[in-house]
Amino acid sequence: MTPREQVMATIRRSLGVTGEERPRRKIVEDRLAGRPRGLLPARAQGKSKAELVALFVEMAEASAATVATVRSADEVPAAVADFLRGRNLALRLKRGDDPRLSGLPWDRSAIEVATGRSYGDDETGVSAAFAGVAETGTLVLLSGPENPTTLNFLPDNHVVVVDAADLSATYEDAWSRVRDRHGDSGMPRAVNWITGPSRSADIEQILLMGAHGPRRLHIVLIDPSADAAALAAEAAPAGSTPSPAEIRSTIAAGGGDRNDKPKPEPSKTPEKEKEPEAEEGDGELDEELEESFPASDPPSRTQP
Amino acid sequence: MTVHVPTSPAFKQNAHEALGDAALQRALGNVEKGFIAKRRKAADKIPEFEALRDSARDIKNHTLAHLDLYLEAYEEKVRAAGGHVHFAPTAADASKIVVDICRRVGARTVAKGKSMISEEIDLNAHLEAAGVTPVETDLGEYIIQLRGERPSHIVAPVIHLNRDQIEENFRAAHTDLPADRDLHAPESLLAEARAMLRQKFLAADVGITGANFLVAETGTSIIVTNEGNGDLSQTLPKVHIVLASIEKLVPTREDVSQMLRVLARSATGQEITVYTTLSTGPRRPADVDGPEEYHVVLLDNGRSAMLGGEFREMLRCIRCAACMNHCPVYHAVGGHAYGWVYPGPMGAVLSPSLIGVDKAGHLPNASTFCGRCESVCPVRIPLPKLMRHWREREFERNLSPAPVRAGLKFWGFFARRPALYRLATRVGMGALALAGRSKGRFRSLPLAKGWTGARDFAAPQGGTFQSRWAAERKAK
Repeated sequence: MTPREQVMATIRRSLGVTGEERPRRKIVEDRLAGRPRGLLPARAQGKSKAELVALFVEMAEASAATVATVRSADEVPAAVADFLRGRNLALRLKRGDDPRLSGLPWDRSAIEVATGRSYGDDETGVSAAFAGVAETGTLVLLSGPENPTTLNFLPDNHVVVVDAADLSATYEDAWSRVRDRHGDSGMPRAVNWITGPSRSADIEQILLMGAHGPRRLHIVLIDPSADAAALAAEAAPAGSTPSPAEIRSTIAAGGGDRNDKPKPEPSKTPEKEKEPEAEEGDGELDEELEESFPASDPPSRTQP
Repeated sequence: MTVHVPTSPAFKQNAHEALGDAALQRALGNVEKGFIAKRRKAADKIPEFEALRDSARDIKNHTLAHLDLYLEAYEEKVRAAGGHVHFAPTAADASKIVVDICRRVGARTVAKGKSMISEEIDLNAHLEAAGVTPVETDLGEYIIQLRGERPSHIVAPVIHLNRDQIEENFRAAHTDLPADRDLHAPESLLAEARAMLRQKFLAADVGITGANFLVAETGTSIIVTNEGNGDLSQTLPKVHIVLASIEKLVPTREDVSQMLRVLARSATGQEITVYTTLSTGPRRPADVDGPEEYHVVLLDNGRSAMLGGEFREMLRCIRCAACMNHCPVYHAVGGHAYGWVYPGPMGAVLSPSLIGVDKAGHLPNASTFCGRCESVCPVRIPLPKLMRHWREREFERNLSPAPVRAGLKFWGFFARRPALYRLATRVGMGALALAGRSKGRFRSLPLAKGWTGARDFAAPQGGTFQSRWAAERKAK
């Protein structure tokens, strides 16, 4: 008997079945084909598009992501540049070949854009989300050359562009859209649901932001129906949600660089910047130069 | 190499030591302080939480009742996506499958996401014996590996430690750290682990993760994490091995969405974990990243037999740890006292099934039967009832100690004769009340050393329970 047969035989003996019973097979076939939906949370039900957008933003910010809203795709590069400048990050990012990203006017924003997967030496990655789920402020990203999975996890900063038209109320709604694209039971290699930046509470149950994944998650939401007045109010600086004081972060920890180099002057901004991970290699000097003037480089505003 | 032998048979001794361990007691305060309030808050935020628990229970019951067919469907989909499924009847089989894959691809290091199945099969010891270096990448598991320990909690592996102990472990292991580097703040420890492990992720030949769920509809494995280490472990190396037990299956993505709504809320009080990752097969032709090989090792290790008996309900467990977070016994002695991989109420029920009632059958005795575990279980496993089943089995199989058996027989004699029982309790109680009337308590009593060894025994007052019960019924 093969190991498979052995396990199957014990299961069937325990259940008192042969596996050939027609009604049992029918129940399973029907469930897999019918895919009944269970209970959907009232929080995301019966909402207008504007209310769903508001819920998505509220939940995403509650997960410590930051959100900036723009009214057209053309404004995305400027919003990304604002995010980078506001945190004294290099105006440089890596993206996949998603047409929703490659078609953007990056050249107008002074951001240097590279394409491809990450090998761990990118400070900022940008991805286009397949969907957002309002229920919990969750981004849904699909793997592929359009948005390589490594960009979701290796860079210190992850910027995700999501169109308000792609917001779903619930996880189930997002699955319906995945089926529309990949067929009834098809899946891309990886579907990544992302809700906020990386964290750990393993040490004494203290919540620490910035574990192995990105220390920051910034969402740029394209919403043509966004209220201009609300946008202006939000833009100071673009989509910032200060973290509650009791939450600690490796951004401020200072450690992590494994060669003890002198630290730059402590910055006076609430979020103290830290040096990039010490991956000895080419290009690090440039990054260090960028990083050595954090306090003297005031966040500029390109937002109208 | 650390091989872990179950110390469950020594639970009493373990518990005794745990109670006297000041550092452990300090650390255990964090269980009660954090988890309970966080779960409560998350559950209160959605009005349908209790109904979602019913839904989660029903999904698991349905899947378990058709497990053979869902396994067939799942297997077919994994193969169709280019992945491999390996059935492992025993823990040793599972370790061998993993070691063989590592050997075939010439792996030197393996990056590991958090997996309780890996602990169950003691995989690291087997990998090391084969010359493969396993690197735990979850912060808690990394610390555990530095210490050569087992996790003491299924979600928070180092809940039994304080930061100064962890700092010591880091200083001992990371020898290139300058002595003046301040590591006291927990975020410095995390930053140090992050920097150290980055290099390991990028160098690993094989990545191993567990699975919180398997989806039959699509042949998908799912991990839920907050750190992102599981994703790095499974995305960067050229081979991804998923370790899962057979009961992780659910039918569809709709079903798993229901399960995910109760998992994080019950575990950490989050609406959902930061990363929920669904993996289906190896990298596709156009992909620029992801593993070239995708393997799933399906572990049975006694579970298929559990399906047929009174412990089937235990197979609904989704490993959220709410039961141990709410358990007064766990709060008092921590997870290591249980002596094997799974602690707390779920461990007390599961361990005897997996390693034998002779080794772990007495764990269910360490219970106050307060019922809090069942009241918070997201899949409504009747843990107290299942613990009572084990107690009965232990008694039937003559495994309980002689004094306990004699005592139960003695009690049984009276319990079968109600009139005699009432008389005996009234006389006994009266005598105790009379003897203890001056102090109101006893410092020691014959045959009751187990109780009075650690605390006083209160002198009884008023009538017996039965007489008061009868009086109250009469008054109504």
